[in-house]
Amino acid sequence: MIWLTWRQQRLETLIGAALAFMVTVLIIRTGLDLRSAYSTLRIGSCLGQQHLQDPACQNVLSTFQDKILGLSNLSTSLTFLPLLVGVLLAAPMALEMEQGTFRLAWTQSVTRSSWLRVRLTLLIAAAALFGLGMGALLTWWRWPADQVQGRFVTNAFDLEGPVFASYTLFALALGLTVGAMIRRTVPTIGLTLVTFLGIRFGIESWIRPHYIPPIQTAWFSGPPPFGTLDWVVDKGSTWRDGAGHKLSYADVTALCPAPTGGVKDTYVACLHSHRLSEFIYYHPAGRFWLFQGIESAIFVSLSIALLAGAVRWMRYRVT
Amino acid sequence: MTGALETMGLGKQYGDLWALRDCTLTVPSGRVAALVGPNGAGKSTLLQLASGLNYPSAGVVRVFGLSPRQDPGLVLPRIGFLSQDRPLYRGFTVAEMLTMGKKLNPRWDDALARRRLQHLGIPLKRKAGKLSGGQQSQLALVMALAKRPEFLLLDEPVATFDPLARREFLSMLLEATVEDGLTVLLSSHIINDLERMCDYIIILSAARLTLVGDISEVLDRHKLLISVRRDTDGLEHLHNVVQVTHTERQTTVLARTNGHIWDPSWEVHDVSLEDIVLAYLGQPQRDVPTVTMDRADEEVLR
Repeated sequence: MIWLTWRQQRLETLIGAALAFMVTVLIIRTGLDLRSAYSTLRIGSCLGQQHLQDPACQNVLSTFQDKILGLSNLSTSLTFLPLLVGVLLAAPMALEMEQGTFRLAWTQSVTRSSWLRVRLTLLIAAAALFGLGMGALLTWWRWPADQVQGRFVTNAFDLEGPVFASYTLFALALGLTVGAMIRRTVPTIGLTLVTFLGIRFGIESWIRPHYIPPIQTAWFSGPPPFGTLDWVVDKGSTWRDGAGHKLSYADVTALCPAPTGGVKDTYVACLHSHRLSEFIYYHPAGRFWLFQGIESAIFVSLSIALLAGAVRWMRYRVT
Repeated sequence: MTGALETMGLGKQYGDLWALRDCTLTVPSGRVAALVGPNGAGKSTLLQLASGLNYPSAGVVRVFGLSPRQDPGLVLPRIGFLSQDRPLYRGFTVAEMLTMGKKLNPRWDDALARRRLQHLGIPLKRKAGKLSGGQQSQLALVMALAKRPEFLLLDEPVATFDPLARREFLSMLLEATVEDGLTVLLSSHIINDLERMCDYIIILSAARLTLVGDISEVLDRHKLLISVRRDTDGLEHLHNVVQVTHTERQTTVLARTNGHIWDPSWEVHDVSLEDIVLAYLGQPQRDVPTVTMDRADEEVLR
């Protein structure tokens, strides 16, 4: 069974391995580069709120930010890597369903249950191995950028830690389930891509900010109450006046017209005269691993549910 | 009598449609049984239910007394199955297909497989997807045979064979049944070959069983009766009338007789298997009796 699985998945596994190898080379090269910039620019001594006004630090930080920005295309592409690898691993199963070769496989002496067990175990192991390894590598890669940008920006959060492996597993589980149900390779790939992207970015945009309630704080004047590495999910959509009444942004603009051009000072003075402070909702940087854990758990649970469905479907529906 | 295949009230339903219904039959061990019927009669469904690929909606199916779905680990090594679509891993070489057979089957006979492929002139290094249609069928058949099954289930095995390959297949099958006591259940459209190939027949029509029995017995009992135009009431009292044709002057009856035809006004002729099959298939569905003509049935009739 192991031989058959390997023989069937050989091409896709080799393509995946070649891809992983090329990405690894690229990551190590750019990662070393970023680290050397980090140390030569002495970024470490410019971190923290207190250095933000320091002109020398502003200068090196912007140079370093440009360097990170230069890698943003690569980062964005890497976001799609779990999907690509998951689909690549799932495709031979869709082909097996399309060409009806499961009828050959399931009438050999190996039972359908053990066929599924071996096949799925190997696929899950491959997805987990790739996801965890690549996740660890990308966590190393992102470290210098994380010190400046924090780890809650999507290009950090989506690539680091266990979530990367959970996305890969989810793409695999989705591909296997869709493949078993529609039994056509190309539509399976298409539907898996669309569904994966919908769920993955839906969760990122609408659910991730609410895994646990953000910290709420009012900002009247002075330095911001949140750190540079914290994740501000909402800022300035609700306000409070001196008497403690809540106001919306529309109420605020009615009192103090929004500034145009260089009249910012009068605007600030107006806000102060009405004793208006804005509410900030943010997740402190320290919540990173908790959020990683929650998001991984969501995608692993979805994957388990899908795989259970795929197994049931293949055992009882596919003939 | 233990059957290689036994079914009782077996049925398979897809939505509102029954692909097979109320099917009760036995294929005794050591027989070569032909499964005939038009497209959509339920032949493939019956074979899939017997192989465990499919599960029944109603009734039971037993292979060597075991359920193919509940005990696949015991049934699968003992059966060989050839699916109608001849699935092969198209990217595998012929040799890799054999490796697969060897890895997945404890009783795999690699020498047999190689011998047959060499005899058929199928090169081991060729990709399975690059073989001709006939060669792909042959390879699929070799895969089923080299499992060394006790019960071979073949869905349209000769459909894509040329006449020479068909004859060759027939002799190979006969050899296997004689040497190894192999039981075979094969579906076919080509009724001509069946009489030479098979000794047992199962006729399906519109998802229902219409006739099961030993071929020589079926031939013995079915007669074509010809007389001047008349009604068949008297005949139907004693015998089972399968098909009646009236012309202006003559009445022709295909009957399943239950003994001698004593009425001298009937001219009695033997019938070919093909005519019998066609008569059963030509019957409007409501009139088709489900008849079992195994030995047990004989005794009841006496």
